[in-house]
Amino acid sequence: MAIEQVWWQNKLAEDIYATLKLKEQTIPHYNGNSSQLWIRRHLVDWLAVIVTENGICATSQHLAVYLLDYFMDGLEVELSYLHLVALACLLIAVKFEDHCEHIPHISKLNTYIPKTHVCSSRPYTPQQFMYMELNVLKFCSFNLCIPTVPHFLPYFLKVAVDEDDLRDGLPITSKCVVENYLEKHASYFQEIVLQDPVYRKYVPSLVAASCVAAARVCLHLTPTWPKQMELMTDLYLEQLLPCLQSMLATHHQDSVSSSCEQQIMSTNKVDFIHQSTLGSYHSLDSPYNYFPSQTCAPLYHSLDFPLATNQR
Amino acid sequence: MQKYEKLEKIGEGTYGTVFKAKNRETQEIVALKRVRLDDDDEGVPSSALREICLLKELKHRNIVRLHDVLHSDKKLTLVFEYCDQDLKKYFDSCNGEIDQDTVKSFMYQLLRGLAFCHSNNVLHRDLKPQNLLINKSGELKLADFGLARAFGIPVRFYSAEVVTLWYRPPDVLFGAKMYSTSIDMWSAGCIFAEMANAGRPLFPGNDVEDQLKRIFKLLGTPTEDSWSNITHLPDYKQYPLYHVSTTWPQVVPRLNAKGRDLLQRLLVCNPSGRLSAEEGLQHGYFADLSPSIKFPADPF
Repeated sequence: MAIEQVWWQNKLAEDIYATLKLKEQTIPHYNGNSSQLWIRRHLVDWLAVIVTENGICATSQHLAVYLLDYFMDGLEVELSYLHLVALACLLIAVKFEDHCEHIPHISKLNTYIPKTHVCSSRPYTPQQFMYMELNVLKFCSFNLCIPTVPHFLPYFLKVAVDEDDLRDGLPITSKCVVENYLEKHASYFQEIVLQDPVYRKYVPSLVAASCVAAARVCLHLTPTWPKQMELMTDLYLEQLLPCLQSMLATHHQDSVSSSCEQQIMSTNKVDFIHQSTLGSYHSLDSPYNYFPSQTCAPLYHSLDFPLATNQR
Repeated sequence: MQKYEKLEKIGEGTYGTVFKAKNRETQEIVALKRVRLDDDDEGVPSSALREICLLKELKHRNIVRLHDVLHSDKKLTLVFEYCDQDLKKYFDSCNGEIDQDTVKSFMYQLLRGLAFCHSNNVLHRDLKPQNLLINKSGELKLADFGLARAFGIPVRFYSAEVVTLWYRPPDVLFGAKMYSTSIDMWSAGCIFAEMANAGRPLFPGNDVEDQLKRIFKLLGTPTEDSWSNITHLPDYKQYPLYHVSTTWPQVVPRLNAKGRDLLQRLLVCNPSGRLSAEEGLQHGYFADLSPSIKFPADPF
């Protein structure tokens, strides 16, 4: 069990990190010029619902969206088959990454096909699933050993909070509490990077590091990018900035639209997909109740967030 | 299958039939593993999917080479390099006698293949003599990656139902779900002892309890002192504190002192105390190993 306590400090963890960093350099270029990009967000959000309801891990989810992105980037898919492609990507990813018992049954996956879908009256057959799985596997040349954001984030989170951290310029009272909230914020950012293909511009380790930095900004922790994070990730704050700024901007839009959607939701007009993706976010508001010295500040104020330095 | 001419059936893998075959064009002998794709199944079997995707990444002389994947209507065919036999069959042909230089060579190659897997973030999770292939030139190759998986950091794992019982480490027998490369190192230790004894398995348990008893009788029952938090493992049960009465020279009479030292460093109950594959390769036991095995002209 010693491994559970200090796994992030041992040589093996460093080796794995180095290997994952090498592997991510081989990720092919993403063009992002599919004519079907307009439906991507819908598919990603829809997969997120299936992922949540079936207890599928984040690594599978990110791999599935990766497969979907590259498949759509390379091939135009008949609209009536796009949902099948997304489900096949998910099935492959779960089979590769997750517990065997988390592999969803095809009959269950069919129940998620939207009622308005052209095929809703006729579910996809197991044979169609099989062929689509093989199509996706052949398209990616059976290359599923792809590092994604969740490969890195748990590792980075191990040193993401330090006892010397300041919150709004004051020492933090409980490292454990802050860690807990930082983790929630970081997983929220890990989720929203799937929503926009713009994050394909960056390697996954950089996106994961930016998730930690963005979470620290949201929690008003300084310095934004402490020395221990720099050492662990081999990344400087300057390198994170473009990605970090997009994340905070996405988050800003998300919080604005979510407050609008909340109103709409109260009139029951939003479908289940939106409720589910937003649900995970609203639960994050609560951390502020645990910092009594703070009045309930909004998660995020403006885009020109303070960039704290490492000098103390 | 046009490209290959089937010669004979070799055996059954975890998820498909294996044939010896000949490439009609190049005359090359290969092994074909056929995976049936049934319509009433849940798509491509996950074990086949993992084996293909992981072996594609692992190109090394001590890991069986996957040449190609062919797909026809109702089946997937994995085309592997051909090896004459597996270690189990090799033992059978030994008649209880094995050359200790061969043991050293096989063990070195096993550790080198494993070190390559581990540095590429892959755990084998089912090491046993049947899954180690031997070719005519005495090369040993890791095969059958149907249970293998890529791991990340942290190495958080799922199923405790991995590794054939005889080669399963005590932490996994106690239900540990979080394990790492040490899982393969235990199996490597068991196989090392089995090789040194020309094929007599070290811990041939009948069930989990019998397996743990056999291990503790040889190594002593671990306590919180030798293995902190052992009592917190999911399936932990108290075992009698056995008095260790068997000495290592009794266990592996033909293995020299350095070999026994290596063996003891692999067979450590506490997973964090087990040697890594990379460390194993540096062990003094291999100091006098033939350079042609240690430094092959082409490591891949």
